[in-house]
Amino acid sequence: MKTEQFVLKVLAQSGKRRSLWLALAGAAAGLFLLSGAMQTTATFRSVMNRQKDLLGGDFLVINKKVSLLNTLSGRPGSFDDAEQKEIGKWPGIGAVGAFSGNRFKVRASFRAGMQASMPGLSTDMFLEAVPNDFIDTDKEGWGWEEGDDEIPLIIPADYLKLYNFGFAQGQGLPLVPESVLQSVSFDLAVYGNGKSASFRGRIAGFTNRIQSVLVPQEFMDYANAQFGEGTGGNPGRLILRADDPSDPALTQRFTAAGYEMAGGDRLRTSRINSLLLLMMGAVLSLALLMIVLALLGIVQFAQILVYRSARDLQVLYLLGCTPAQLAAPLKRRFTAQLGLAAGVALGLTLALHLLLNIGLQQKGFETQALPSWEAFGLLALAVPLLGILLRRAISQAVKEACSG
Amino acid sequence: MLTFERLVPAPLEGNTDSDSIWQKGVSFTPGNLYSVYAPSGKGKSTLMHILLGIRRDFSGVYTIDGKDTAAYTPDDWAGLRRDRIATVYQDLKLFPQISAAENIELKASLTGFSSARWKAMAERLAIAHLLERPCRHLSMGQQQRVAIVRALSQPFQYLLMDEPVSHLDRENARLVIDLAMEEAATQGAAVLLTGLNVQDTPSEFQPVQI
Repeated sequence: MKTEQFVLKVLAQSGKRRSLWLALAGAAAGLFLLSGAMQTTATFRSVMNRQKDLLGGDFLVINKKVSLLNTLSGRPGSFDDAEQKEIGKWPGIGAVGAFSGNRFKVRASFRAGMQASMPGLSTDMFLEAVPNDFIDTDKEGWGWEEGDDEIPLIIPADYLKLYNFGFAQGQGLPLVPESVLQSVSFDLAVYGNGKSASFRGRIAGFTNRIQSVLVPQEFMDYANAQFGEGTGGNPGRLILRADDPSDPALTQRFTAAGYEMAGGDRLRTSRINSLLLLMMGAVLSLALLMIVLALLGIVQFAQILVYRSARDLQVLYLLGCTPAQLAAPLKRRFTAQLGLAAGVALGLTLALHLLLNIGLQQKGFETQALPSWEAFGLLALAVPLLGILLRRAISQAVKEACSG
Repeated sequence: MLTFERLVPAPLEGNTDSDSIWQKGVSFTPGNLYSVYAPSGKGKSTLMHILLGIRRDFSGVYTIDGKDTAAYTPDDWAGLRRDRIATVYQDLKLFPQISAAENIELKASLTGFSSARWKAMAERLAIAHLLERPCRHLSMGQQQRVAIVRALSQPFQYLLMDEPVSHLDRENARLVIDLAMEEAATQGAAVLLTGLNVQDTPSEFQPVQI
């Protein structure tokens, strides 16, 4: 009979197996809570950051709070160069872009009958532009060159909602879906500086993030040069590229500096994010507690197993087995069982990921196909750590048993 | 060479004679045969346990080939017991739940000892027909012989036998002593024996008085 087989045979005779399985189930549950909490958080965060928008998903718009002072002076707070550079240095901020506005007059008009479903109307309007870096210019035919007759525009999605649910319903006019509006063009008359020109406007896309009407920067620069009156001052609004626009720390920093973040959904997301982080913290603490308890259970089981077989282990030691030789089969067995618990936790986390994805997709959210690497990274850290602690405890118990 | 220099076990501190091995010191050299005599309770088993590294509660120095054993680790002792010091314990230290053959095989697998050799020894001690029985079903005399075959199933320079024939009749005791002497001679090893009367001890053994 080989020493290893014999050690296992001797140990198999002592110890209540049910208590071991309970401890292992506890370990699996703890590990699952750990990776599951991480996975859930990652899934929800990715959903919140993946709202479809023509503008990139990782930017913020800020402005200074409108105060009584600048209302009286008639000049809203603007950002000078020094302030722009300072904001660019903040952690989590990648790039800073300025909004430029029109210094010429713009008049948009829909002629009656131009499109069957649209009433005739005409309105003065304003335009703004942000650097192209902040816009997904490959899509939706964004961009403009001198000589082009057509100007693409991005308008707030809320404008269409206002028309559809406020104006159109009240006036008995037909509702206009986004796709129809995008196929409609309208007249855009531009004049000032003693000159005028006529273009065709086309809605290239909608955004929930910026409460403005955006045109390509190239058109804005051209039109300001041709028709603009006066010189442009410092920008009143900045567009920022942020690593995580919903980072609560960033929100706090803006508030402290007296800036407002445009777009209520960003702030809401930030608040949900804070809540999510708080909940994840609570669940992770619970998971750690469960893991510690489970580890104590497994270690205690291993120690009891060793102490109950102490006489036999001591005789094997006196026959010439080293303590390491005696501990090895025990370590292998417990490591395999810990591996099983980790496998169960891994399987449950994958199942959770799939269920979350199915549930969110049914509600129309775009989800990430791959599970979160953080969840598996956490498992990959926790399991070897548990393994090391367990193996140490077994070595110690066997050494004590050998020395009697 | 196993050497005691002014080595006094803790329980015998202040209670040793001036001509005892504790005061005079003693060495055991491979190739020699020793029969240890002492009145009951004077430390025969203690001597064996110190030699094996089981007991460390003593003053003085115990060296093996000139090296102080105070620095030995559990792994060092395990190696010594596997490769150099074979032992028949007074309480035998057999596993009662497994068969006699499994008890011996356990040691043989550890030391790479051939099963043909230990089976031949079992044959010689008249226990070959008992090998498949669980040890707990064997008489004390039979168990003693199983323990002796197990002890001999390894390479050794020292064979320590603590009262190895206490449960054997004179004829079986003679078989055991002869086998031990032959194996020791083959390996050029020392034999330390306790528990034999002076008249039963073969003349080749040097007396060691504790």
